[in-house]
Amino acid sequence: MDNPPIRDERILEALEARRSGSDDVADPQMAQLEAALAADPALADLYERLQATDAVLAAKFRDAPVPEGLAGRIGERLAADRLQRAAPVAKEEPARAMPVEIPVEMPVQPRRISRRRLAIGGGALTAAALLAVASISIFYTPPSYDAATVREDAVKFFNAELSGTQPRAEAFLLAAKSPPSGYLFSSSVVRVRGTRWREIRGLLDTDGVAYDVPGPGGVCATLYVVRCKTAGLPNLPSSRPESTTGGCFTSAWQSDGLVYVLVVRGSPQIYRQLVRLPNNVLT
Amino acid sequence: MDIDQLVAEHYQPVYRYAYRLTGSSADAEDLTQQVFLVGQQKLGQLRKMESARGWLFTILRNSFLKGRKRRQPVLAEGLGLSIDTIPAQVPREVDIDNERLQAALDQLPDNFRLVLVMFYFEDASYREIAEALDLPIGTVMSRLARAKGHLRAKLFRPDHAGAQARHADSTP
Repeated sequence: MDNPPIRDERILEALEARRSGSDDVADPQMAQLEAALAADPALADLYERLQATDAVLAAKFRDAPVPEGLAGRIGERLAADRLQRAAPVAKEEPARAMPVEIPVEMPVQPRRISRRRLAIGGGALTAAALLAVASISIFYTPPSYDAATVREDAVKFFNAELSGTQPRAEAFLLAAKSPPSGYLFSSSVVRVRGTRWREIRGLLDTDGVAYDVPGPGGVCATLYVVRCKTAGLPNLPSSRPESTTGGCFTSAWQSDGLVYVLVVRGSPQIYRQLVRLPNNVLT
Repeated sequence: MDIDQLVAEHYQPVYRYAYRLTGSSADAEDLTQQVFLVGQQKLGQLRKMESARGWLFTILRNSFLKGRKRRQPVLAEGLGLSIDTIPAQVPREVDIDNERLQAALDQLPDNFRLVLVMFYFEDASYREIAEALDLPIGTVMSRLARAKGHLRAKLFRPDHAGAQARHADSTP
């Protein structure tokens, strides 16, 4: 490559940085280059070649293969992030979302109100609004579910998922991808190889994560993990699961602010194999 | 403005940009996800959909630099100024090997690579690069010229023997 020598480093740098049609000529370094280009046809030719080469390189820079399924994986990560960020505020949301209606009497005829009266009136309204909000915050409690309701809702949800009336989000292998940190797998349930997790919506009027435990004929059990207010739920799964008319065995418990519901299809033996209790109560 | 729409329209250029910066598909994917994660959290800051790509690229550059701070910088050999690397014939895009291009990019220190990727990928002028990275114009010009020379040497000059390479002692 036999290019004309350029002694001045500033011209060389300007040559590399210049873009045709840009307003860079206002720069002193660029002005110097402009003069050199006008005076030296060989340099002008070199510049043209450099521009053409840059155009080819720019196209090549933008030509990188994009992995398949990337958009889907981004979407899943964003959904997991939304879920994770929504979890800590879920308890407070109903109280904050309660609308506060303050009746304001509108005058039929416009009339002059002194600043003093306006200030007093405004202050009274603000105080009333604050009092109303405070009362709601103090006395309002979000709905709480008892153990039977939790189990019933979970079984309904489980059956709806099986029948396809409840849509299922994409599931991920627990060993390959971590679930949202706010909805971790329960330490009271045996972690079976091949367990998958997925996001769920609408169980006990909230969002959460479901863990599908594999069995010989497909999914044999699902552990639902949600955050909601409950009353009377034990801290551990029961050694005697509740049986349901659909041939499922369930147990619900709470731990570290999370509500767990295990729904097992088949026999109580499968349930006993899956549940881990202190002092080996089940075996 | 909808984050899903943003992902659908821009995930490919964001990934390609990330790939050119990181040189690894796994790192590029991580960085791409990080960009949209930040994008989701700061979506309210985006005023116009037309400026979404530039906004995402800015998040990408910041995330890249943040993630690289703790890493040991790679020292590029012989980052001198050279015009001998400008090929006599303008190359065709198909003749440029993608892996070779990426390998040449990977040899550059992060701050040189970033300037180069902004120049080629974003079509950014040296002034825009200086403003975005908060660098003096002279520094940008110097890095750009040296990085471009390095890239061409690796792509178009197999022996890479510097005929007119002048190694700058005061590389910013």
